[in-house]
Amino acid sequence: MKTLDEFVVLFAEQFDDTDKSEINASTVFHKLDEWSSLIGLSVIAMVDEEFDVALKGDDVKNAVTVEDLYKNVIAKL
Amino acid sequence: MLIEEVISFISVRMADLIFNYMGKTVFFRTFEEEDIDAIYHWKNDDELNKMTVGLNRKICRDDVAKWVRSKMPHNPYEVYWAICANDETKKIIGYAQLTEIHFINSSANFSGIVIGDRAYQDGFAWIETYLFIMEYAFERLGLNRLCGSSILGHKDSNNIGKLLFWTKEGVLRQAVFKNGIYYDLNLGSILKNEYFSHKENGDFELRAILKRLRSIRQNNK
Repeated sequence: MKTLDEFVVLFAEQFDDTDKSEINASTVFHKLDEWSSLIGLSVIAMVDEEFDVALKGDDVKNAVTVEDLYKNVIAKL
Repeated sequence: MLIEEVISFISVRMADLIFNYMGKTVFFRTFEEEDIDAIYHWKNDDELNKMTVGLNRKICRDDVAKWVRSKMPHNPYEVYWAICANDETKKIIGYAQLTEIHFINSSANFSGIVIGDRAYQDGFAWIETYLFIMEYAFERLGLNRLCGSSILGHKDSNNIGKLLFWTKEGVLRQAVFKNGIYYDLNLGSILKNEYFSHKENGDFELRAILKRLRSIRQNNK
């Protein structure tokens, strides 16, 4: 099972223009300038491939931080 | 049958079809009076409008109210939908539009999607709206061609074309002046036979879309 740190790295890889150092476990990801529907879908695709977990809209919408999202993923394993 | 009768028939049919289309994470309805404030906010959101094709200018609430009200009555040549959250809130989270519907050329222009509520920019609302618009155009209206344009460099729009098998038709050079510079405009389209071919192939299933998105994003890097 991947750790939170590994998840943060994978999460940050979905962004093109955002400095990776800006993204950590406590980042409120909806507030990142680059956050968009495409990035959201890319995160869902990453979770599908790396964790074999199918996230739902609520899992992303209700997560505030990257760590919250990680917890939602782990809960579905 | 006179052409007016045909249009009238189609209009009634469209009015039947556009109400209360329910998706998984969103549903679509016509605009309502209470949508005005949200749309006013989004039309004046610089970040949201930075890379859209339309002009980015401040619009007063009265003008937005007139615009929203003008899109409420059904019109055989264009359809505007409020995109609403299919959760306990049922609130409007954005809007989408299909314009320039032409019943002789059997074509329409997909004029864009705005997911204004950032909490719902999770990808689901966006992709579900895209699929709904294509289904509406090809399966309900029976159109032959759906076209659209996007600013070159608008990542969401540029990638959605590749993701949903639109064909790039060309580039209008320096066609849009925005943010102090001229942008090229991508033109793209998808035809009825392409849509049904990919649908039958399962290419519009979420799992297939996600897999393709990973591939596209990796190729872009």
